Amino acid sequence: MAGKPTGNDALALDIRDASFEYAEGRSGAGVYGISLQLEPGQVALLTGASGCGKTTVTRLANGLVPHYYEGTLSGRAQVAGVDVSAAPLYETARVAGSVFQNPKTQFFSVDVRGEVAFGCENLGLPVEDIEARVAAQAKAFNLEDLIGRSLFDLSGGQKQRIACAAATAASPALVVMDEPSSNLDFEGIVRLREAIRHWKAQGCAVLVAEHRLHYVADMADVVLHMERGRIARRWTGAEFAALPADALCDLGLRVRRVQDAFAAAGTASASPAAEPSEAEAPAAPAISPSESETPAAPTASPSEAEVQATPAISPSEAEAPAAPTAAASQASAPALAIDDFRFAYRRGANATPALDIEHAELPQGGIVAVVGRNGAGKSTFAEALCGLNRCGGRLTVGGRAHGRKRRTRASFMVMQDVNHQLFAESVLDEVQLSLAEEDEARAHELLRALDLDDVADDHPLSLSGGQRQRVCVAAALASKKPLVVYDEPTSGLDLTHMRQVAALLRQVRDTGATQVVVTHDPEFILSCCSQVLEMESGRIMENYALDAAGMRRLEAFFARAQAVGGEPWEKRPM
Amino acid sequence: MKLLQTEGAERTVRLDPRTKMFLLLAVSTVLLLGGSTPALLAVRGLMLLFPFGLLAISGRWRAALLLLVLYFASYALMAVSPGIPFLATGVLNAVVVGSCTVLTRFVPTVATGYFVLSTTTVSEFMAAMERLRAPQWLTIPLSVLFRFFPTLAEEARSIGKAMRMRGVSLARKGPLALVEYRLVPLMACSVRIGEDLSAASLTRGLGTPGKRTNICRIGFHWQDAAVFLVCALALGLLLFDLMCPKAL
Repeated sequence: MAGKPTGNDALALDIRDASFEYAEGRSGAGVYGISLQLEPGQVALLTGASGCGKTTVTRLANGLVPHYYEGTLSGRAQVAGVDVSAAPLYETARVAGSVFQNPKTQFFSVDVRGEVAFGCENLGLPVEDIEARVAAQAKAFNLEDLIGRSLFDLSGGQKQRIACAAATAASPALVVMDEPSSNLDFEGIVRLREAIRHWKAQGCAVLVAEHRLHYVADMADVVLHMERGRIARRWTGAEFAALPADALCDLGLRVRRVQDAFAAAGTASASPAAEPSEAEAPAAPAISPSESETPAAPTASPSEAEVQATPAISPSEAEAPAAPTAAASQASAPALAIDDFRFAYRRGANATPALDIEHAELPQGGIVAVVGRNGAGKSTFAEALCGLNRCGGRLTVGGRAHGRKRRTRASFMVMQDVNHQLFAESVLDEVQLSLAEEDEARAHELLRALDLDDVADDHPLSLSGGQRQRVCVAAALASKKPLVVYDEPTSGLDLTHMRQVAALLRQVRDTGATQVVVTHDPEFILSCCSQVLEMESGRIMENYALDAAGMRRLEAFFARAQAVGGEPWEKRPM
Repeated sequence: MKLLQTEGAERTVRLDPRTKMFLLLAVSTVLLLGGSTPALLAVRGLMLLFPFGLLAISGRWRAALLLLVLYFASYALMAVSPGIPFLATGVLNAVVVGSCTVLTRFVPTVATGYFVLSTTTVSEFMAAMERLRAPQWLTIPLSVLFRFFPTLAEEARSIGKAMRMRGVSLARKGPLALVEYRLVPLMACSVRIGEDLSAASLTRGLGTPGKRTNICRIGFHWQDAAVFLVCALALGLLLFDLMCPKAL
């Protein structure tokens, strides 16, 4: 080890009274008076709202601050005795491995083997040693089937597993993770949990900055809550587990366990007043014009309310006994019909049909969550709905059938990376671009509705992520398209921002548009969706309304996903 | 189009990266500078086999066919243009003959470049550069660049989709706006991708002074020798022709 040991070598991570401010102020939020000590095998969980400086703390630990992102630093950070704030980055690379948020941009190689070996090659380890390490990592992270593959063909979950294997191939003393779960599906998250458990057992310390707590909270030895660049609260793992759920909520933190989300939604729906819980709210307070004309729901008995909250007329639900009065208007309410959505990628690796849907119906004006594991065809389905891939078939909206090209005009997709779809020079222009004809008053009206009128003249790319997302939605609304599709709109969002997105979707619902959301976020589904589509192997396996019964089915779905992913590194098809 | 594949895509031909670099140099030189004497026409015909043949053998027969059709179509167009009234003279003639000449000269190079990029991994490239004793300041930026292209291509595809969905089309907005709408998000993405990629590779110890190891086994085999021989022969003939014109 070339770093000069200057302190307590027994600590894996030792940050003492460190403060940092970015030189140009652009790359992130500054942090002040950070102190954190981790012994080998300890896990620290770093939480807090977006922009609170979590990422900066991870950069203090892996040396990117101050060596890559420049600024003024005081205090010091040591990893296994190496002073990372003074040593060059390649010295730090020996003792600290990093896993980043975006699987797309953290790989240097294009093949799995090369990527896992890359760090060791840079350190100049002997070839035989590297080969042995690559083999060991492949075994530990179940990459044996992937080792010869191209990184471009892999799913987000597989990429993140490779990132984990690559980060620790050189046996660092500390692993630093910056929101590693944001682009992962539910199963990928459970596998990430296994990775952390593996490191903990090997005596490697782990520092995780995260919004999603449920996969790591019970393994954390210390939980830090940051506010405006400072550590505002500090708990031991046991103290954190003992916190009451509403205290967590007040701090803007996500649930500690997935079950908690359902429990919270469940107790609300079970309340005697039959007041629709937040989870059920979307279905009840009337979307379609026909429903608003018959305000029967509030007085109806709970069971009737349930029936009414079932807007779909898919074959399976048609058998359910329909209450004649309330359900009649429902049955006549137009639904979105999907017919003959079949699609296969021609490229060798994905020869099986990516999408195979004969017929399905979605409730008009509903918010439909599409769930399923990676590779289940969710994104392909979303793209097919918008006519963005070569999938044929018909989408019937309001009695009009749309082929592929017409679907592009009838729908709007808010992509996961919204940067791809913002073109204009100002927010106002962006909205005007979608209006049939220039109408500044209407554009301002839309911006006001989405709380964007303050930034109307700003460049879209100068806004925060959440604001950019809202600009996209404003453009979607301006185009008056009857179908809005979202791809992972809450990935990497804290509780406050997730709730903002949920509120936004409810707002869009009130304009009458139907919304389809591809998501892995149970809390988000419970806070705004009215219908759930479960997908597997390109097929829609289940299609149900998110009423009380639907919530039980959804809970079972997530419980299954958790159980499957929880089996340590079990092999599974793509 | 996919660049920088792994060995899985390269089942059929395995050439050393250094051979591929030499091949690229030879094909582009011979086909750019080669004259039209019978001997050199034969040499050029032979060199043409490399890009299209290798592309086809490595499983990219569709790209090979497309480029081949493009190549011969431009030749054909050049040949028939004097016979077509409105193409025989004037500006249109200049445009057609000009672009066809460029196409016939560059398509083979593009095809070879595509073959080389799509069958070489970053590790192979770095290993080859190290064997050639290229300095780190040259190898690292080049390999980052290679890594950057495919990611950029992915981004560009998403942007194209978004534009179709937003109804931003040539007819509605005109060519200038179309270019602007495509480039602005692409540049914003590239800056971020570049920054993230650099940060990630630095935390993995890229640029560590001293000798870097490489687990990638590269080396010369009989097929490399064959390619080298043919390319050297072609280059030799070209050189001979350039030095003593009319000899062949």
